[in-house]
Amino acid sequence: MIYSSVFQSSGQHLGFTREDGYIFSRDAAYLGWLEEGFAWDTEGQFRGQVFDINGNRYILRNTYSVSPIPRTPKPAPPIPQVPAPLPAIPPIQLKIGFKDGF
Amino acid sequence: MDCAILVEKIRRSVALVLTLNEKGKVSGKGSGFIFWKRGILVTCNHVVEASPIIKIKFPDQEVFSDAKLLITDKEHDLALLKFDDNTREYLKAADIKTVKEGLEVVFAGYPLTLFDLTTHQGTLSAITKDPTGIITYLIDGTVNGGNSGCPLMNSSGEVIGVVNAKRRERSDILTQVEEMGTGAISLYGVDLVKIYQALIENVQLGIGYAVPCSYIPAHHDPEIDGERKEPPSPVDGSKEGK
Repeated sequence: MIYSSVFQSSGQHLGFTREDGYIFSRDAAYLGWLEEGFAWDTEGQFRGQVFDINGNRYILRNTYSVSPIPRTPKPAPPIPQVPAPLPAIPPIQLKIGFKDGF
Repeated sequence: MDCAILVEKIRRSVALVLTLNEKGKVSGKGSGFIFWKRGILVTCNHVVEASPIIKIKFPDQEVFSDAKLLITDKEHDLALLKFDDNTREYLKAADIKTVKEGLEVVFAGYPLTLFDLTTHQGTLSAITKDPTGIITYLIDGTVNGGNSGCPLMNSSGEVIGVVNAKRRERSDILTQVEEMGTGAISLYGVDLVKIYQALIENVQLGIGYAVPCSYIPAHHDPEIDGERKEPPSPVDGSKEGK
């Protein structure tokens, strides 16, 4: 399985998205899943959208828009062997209204 | 149309929807209305989702009757139910071109614990899209729990949408309280978590959500319908959605 890193706007390494859509924290905890670039948490609540900024990936949410209808939660997959966590990167300045999804 | 006339016109077409668990106890409540054709009730998916038993009752009925889940559309929070009564008229859809921000709207359903058809008036305050591209109507009106599944209509009683939620700002602190186990905070033996959760549940910000009626899935029964009728697009001249 291919894992891609996701960061928080603070620069902290949030975790990984897996090629099958699942999202895991940097220590392999199940956070949710991606569908067509949109992120949903373990409860099925909308958490944001994947953005590519300066070559790094972030899950960000526009808090000024209406929330989509929650999805049916997906059962947690088996705990995976995720790659080693990455060091923090420089923080980014988010536009007004945007915040980290996780 | 005068609102009293409108209510009289739609009264026999808007039902109270109850869901029961396997033990026959009420597990949920919402509203629904006959749409597209007789014997088909539209409601919200979250009202009937995962419920083994669905009962409906129209205002002129004394007892509940059975309804069967036909179609669910989780993405738009819609569901179609089938029930055995072809004497009731279905509500008609409004012309999509007339649906504009600022439109006077009426919605009628069974909010809170009420079993009486209850009508509200308001304004279609915004037509917006969620981040996934789904069109959402915002209503300036008193939408409460139980209103889910009730018809959002223009002043002629034509359906423009399906009411599906009341607006509540999500916040990290409120979410923490919502997810907190009852009994976690108490004062002189009073469970404060329960009180907070009840307050959060009952907050009324005066903004409701509705799904455009163009998202209502069409149910095709060749024996009854003949040719299939597709729902109109939610926007002029283009296909919308995800």
